[in-house]
Amino acid sequence: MKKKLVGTLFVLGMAALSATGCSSSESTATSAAPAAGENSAAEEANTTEAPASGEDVQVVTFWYNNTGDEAKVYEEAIAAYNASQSKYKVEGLSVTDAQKLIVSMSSNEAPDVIKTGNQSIIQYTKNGLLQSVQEYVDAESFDTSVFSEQSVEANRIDGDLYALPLDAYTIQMFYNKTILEEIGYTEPPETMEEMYEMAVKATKLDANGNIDVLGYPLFPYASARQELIYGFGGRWWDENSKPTPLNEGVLDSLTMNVAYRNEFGGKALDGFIGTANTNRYTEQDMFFQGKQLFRLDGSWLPTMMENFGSDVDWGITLIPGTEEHPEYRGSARFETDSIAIPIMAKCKEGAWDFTKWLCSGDGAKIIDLGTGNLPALKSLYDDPDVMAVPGFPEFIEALELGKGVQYPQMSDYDEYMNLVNATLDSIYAGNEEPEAALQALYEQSKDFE
Amino acid sequence: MKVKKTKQERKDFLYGLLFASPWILGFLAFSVYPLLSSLYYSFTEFNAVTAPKWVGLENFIDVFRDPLVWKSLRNTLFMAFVSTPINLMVALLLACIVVRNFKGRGFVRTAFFLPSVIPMVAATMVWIWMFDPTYGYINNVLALFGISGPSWLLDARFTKWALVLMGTWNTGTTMLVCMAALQSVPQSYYESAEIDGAGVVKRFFYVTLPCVAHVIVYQAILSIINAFQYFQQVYIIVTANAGVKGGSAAGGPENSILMYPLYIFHNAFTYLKMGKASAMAWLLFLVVAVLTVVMTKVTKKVTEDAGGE
Amino acid sequence: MNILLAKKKGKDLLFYLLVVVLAIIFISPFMVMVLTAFKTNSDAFTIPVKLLPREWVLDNFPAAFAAIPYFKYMGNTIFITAMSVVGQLLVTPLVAYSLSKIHWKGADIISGLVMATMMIPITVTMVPLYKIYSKLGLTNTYVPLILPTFFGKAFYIVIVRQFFSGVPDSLIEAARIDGANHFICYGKIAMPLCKPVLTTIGIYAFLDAWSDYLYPLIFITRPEKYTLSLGLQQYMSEYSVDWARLMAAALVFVLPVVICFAIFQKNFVEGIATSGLKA
Repeated sequence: MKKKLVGTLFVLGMAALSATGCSSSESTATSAAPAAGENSAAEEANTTEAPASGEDVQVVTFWYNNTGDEAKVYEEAIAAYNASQSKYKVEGLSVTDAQKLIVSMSSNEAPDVIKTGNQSIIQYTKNGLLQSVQEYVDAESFDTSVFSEQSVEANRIDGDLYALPLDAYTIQMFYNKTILEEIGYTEPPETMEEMYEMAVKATKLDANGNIDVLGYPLFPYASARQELIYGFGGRWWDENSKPTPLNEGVLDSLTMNVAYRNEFGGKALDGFIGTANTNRYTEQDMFFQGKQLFRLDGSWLPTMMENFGSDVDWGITLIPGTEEHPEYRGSARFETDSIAIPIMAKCKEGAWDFTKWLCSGDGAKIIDLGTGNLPALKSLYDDPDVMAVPGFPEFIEALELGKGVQYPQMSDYDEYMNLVNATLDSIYAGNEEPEAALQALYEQSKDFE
Repeated sequence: MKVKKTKQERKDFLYGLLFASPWILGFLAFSVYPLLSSLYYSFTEFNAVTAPKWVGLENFIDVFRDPLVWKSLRNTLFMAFVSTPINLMVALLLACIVVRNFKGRGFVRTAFFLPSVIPMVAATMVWIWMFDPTYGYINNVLALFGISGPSWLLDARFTKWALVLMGTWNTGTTMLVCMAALQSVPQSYYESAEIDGAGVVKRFFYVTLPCVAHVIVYQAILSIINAFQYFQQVYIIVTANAGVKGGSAAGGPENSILMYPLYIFHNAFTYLKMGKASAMAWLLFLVVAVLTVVMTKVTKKVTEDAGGE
Repeated sequence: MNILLAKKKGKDLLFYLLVVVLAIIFISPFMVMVLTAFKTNSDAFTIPVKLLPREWVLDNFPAAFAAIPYFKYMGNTIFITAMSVVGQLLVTPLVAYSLSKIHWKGADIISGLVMATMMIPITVTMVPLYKIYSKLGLTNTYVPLILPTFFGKAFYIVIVRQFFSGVPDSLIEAARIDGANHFICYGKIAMPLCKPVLTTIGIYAFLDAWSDYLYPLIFITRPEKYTLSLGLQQYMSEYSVDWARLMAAALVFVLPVVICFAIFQKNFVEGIATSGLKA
């Protein structure tokens, strides 16, 4: 009985073996699940519009790390690509867990194309996991100047290009005009000092000592670690991608953060931030509800606010600089979502063809508009549909300043950032003085590369 | 006679092997190779994908020098030796209640046990929601008593206690075992103690506890071994808390809930240092193995002292 | 006399109060899940926080069902879960019987190995394990999810072995003297005895397979083969969480488990209670 069962299972399993790599699409998938029903094949045909005579069609597998509505946008782009030519058939899959990607790469079952952030591109390249696309670019004399210079730079590692940029990502300062007027200002701040003054005036506590309106943009966390520091000219790494936690701007920024925390109480702030984190980007998002004066955030925020019907009167401005160095104004992180080909991909020709189409062909617009990300493709900078998105004109203008702060080319970046974040936590909790904490961070991180 | 005995022994050996063969087969086919591989990886520089490079003891030296390894070990020890005793006490208290005969006992027992059957992912998400500083039920209930609750999952001083609190909900299994143990204490013991004038508290400490001690110790050992594998809950919390584009530390505020297995995970799949992760795993294995042997010895002694099995 | 009675009554009242409070505390996470599932998202985020929805809405459920092919994933999950439970129930008692009731050289070694395999984290064995299944051509099938259950899981083997060690050897010895071999002893004596503990194992195996996330994540790469727990994860989008909907989705995920527990509750309780006793 037992043996028979196991045997049956094996047979079932073998039958369920599906095609991988550059195989003909004919052989795909008989589902092993008895209860799964027959509609899977029909569904698939619907979304991918496989050409009728698919004898020579090669399958290209593509993993993207988006879910929900964004995943639908990617499927839409894939369908458009499949309809546009008959040589390759791209099959998409939403994979948000990097663990799955790594494990599949370890057994040569990697997808042919992946979409991920350019920081992962750097890490994967440093570990030898990605195919350089430089040779394709050179062989075809593909013109990379169709992309903004920053976005190409973001994917160039040790001189070679390892991915094409799909979209760009930067941060600016949103502000609530109504609150700003209430406290007696008409213009948003241009320096950190001004911003601090406004933030203190705008912060409101309720009867229980909880924060009702947050002035200083300590939420989201990520911007406190990045833009608030860049505005002071601070950097966590130098041009050689070596950690620099003892940088002066870092200390100045943290000193200001700590001053604000001391003024209004760390516990009250943590309470506000915790809740803001719970309901971020929902209808109850703190900024959408008029409970934040400043918010450092991305280009999708205005569209979200429109969709949720928020009645907050908002404006966009550059990240402030300092009184001493006004030229620091407008510094913000610069990232790209990138399309890359794993070194063990089975269908590299098809992968490159799809990569090109997605990043520089019709794909880019579908993705950028659908996910609310800024274009990396320069031709889209004055595309009427792109410019019609609320907030995009301001963000694209900021991108054109070229002041984006790039990721370091560190393999140990994640490990370093974990230490940085923990150090910030510790400073905010009042366990350590900023100087001492940063010194300790330096000691711990100096060997990262 | 002697010949027969060996024949019997050989027969038993074959039976034993036959009955245990599914597990042995699985072990040989799907455990031995992965285990030996990970042991080999621990002596290599390996990013999980490209060919491993032999580096000797470098990973082990790295592990001993990394302050986060020690921090994560301390966090894990906290779960093993603070959370576990609290859970046992809660379980014992609940068991003392459901062992009594009262109306609605079945319902109460179900209520106590229900949290233990809710899948971990769903339960943890509910807890994250309950721990929210403003909208969470916990702080709202505390507010009824005039206590202003902390930002549980954001304040390093409270994160571990939040985990402890979560853990106490999950004591259903231990409660049932304790309940059965309590039921097995002969009624006559209590009666004679009562005649001697012992009150409820005295009876608990002088009659109940010694009689169920062996069960509790055994449960404690199982819980402690499990505590060293404590991973999924913190992984979910940290992921949910990370905020936009990784705004917080990989192990919660100040890495206060960076558990040892979570740090292994990060080394393996986030930092792509499978070699170091494997070294950490094997070191933990040795520690837990020694601990288990010691604790089992202790149990045997406690059990014998209690005059039990 | 009256005073004593009153005192006893007072004590009873206190006891009941304690019990009710504790029961409420223990049931509250589940209730929070249920009640939030019937709220609108804005209701969930309104101060003062109310336990009951201000307005009961059902919208979250169709939304949860529409977001993922719920019933298809449910079918897949049921198939995997059923096979896993069958596997564990067939194999676990066999191995446990061998380790505690057949006295053979090697039983101790195997027992030690069983314990040892519990202590190595899956994180570091995942890559080589995947390589094996990949070589066998079994990735992207349910085999890696189901096959291991037919080898017996260490934790369950330990539980059942624990249970068997409470069964007196003399029962089996007597049967053996009467000429019964171990197959007969196992089938006629051991199996009937361990019914309650098998229920426990069954429910554990059910829970494990139902909520397993890691194995399906790693091994399954076709959406039509996904399980519910994978689908649920998909449902939480990367940046924001719609808590009311999430709770609705979690509720429909949890419900089959709770129902299953309600049905087998009595055996389950009995099984756990008897298995953990002997040290």
